[in-house]
Amino acid sequence: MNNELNFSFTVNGREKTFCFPPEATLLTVLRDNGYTEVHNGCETGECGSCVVILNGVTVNSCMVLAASAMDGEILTVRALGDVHNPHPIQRAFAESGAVQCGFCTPGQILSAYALLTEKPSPSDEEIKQALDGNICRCTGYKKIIEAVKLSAVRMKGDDDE
Amino acid sequence: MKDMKWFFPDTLTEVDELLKNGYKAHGGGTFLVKTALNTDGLFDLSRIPQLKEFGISGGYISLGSALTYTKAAAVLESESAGNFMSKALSSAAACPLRNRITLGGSIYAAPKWSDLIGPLLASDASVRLSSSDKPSAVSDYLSDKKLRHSGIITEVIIPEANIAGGYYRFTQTHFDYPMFTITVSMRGNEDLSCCITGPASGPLVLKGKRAELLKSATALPDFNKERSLSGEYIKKRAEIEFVRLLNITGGNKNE
Repeated sequence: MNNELNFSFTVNGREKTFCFPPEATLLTVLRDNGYTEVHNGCETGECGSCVVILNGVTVNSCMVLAASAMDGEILTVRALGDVHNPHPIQRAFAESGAVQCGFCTPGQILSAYALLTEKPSPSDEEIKQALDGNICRCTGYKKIIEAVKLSAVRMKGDDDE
Repeated sequence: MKDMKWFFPDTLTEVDELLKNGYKAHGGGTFLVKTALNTDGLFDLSRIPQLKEFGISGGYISLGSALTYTKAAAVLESESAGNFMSKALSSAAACPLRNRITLGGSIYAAPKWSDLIGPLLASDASVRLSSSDKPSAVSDYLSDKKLRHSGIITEVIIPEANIAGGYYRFTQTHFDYPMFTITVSMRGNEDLSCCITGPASGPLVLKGKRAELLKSATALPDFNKERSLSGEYIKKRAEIEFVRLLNITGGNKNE
């Protein structure tokens, strides 16, 4: 490919230059560069498994042309925490039984993170609306909503535990 | 695939030049990704501050065309809680898409399943184009191909008084595209302006007294078969939901 672009994004706090074709989606660019926690599901913007946070809001990375994210700040779930040092949302999802096969989990957690960053005490309706682009075929959604509520309590420091 | 170029204009003057050269505008890109990217070049509109402005003046709400559904819904809701326009924008697609779809891109593409077109038509909204200072009615913009290609949409203008009313979208599951939408805009005690999207012949705008509209609600145009549902079923369902919305809108101003 002779007209590949060289554009920079900040991913998880580190600015990097990526080389990709002009029609590439953000999903393929991220995955091709090792960010495989961004899952490739439907590629039509319906399942939410490829959700990342771009400039503070959740987006389906499969529906974003990578070039349009130039100079943008991207967060993947890897930025929040890992198995040794999980984010309160990640811990709440594990403890609430909101994770089964785990394929949708990175997207669910990022949607929850974006919501709780903006609204620390969301209502059930606000949780449902913020996560309406994340489909889970295993758990049903009750445990996921419980996990977001538990995360909210813990992130505010109201947890009695 | 063509050797596609990307451009990042900062001004509308640059945009006009790019349009003259045959390049396509990129708003949120969700429609472009789904359709063929068969173009020599795209120019991204997200770096033009003017297209992200909003405000209210002289009874009109002005929304920059590069505002996303999420942002536009928040602006509208803060101005008039419970209005049908913010309800429609908040229930469209799903959160990560609403964070990306722009008003301008959505009106330009005007897909059959749009949650925006019905409310705009019912509220007599207009758009301002980069090619003209004079706003054009959304209905004219949608029907006039020459107008649509004369410039990019820079601003959506909505009469503030016209966004009270009701909105209904018919889907089988929440994240489906709607097979039809119904908007009822209240214009006075019994005067209403309604738009039904989904008929095979295109969006239907009906204006009049509630009693007259209730009569016409049982004679809607035909709908095409969609997914697992027949055209007859969808039409009957639209008639039932239209009557229901007509009956409840007004008693409670913002259903």
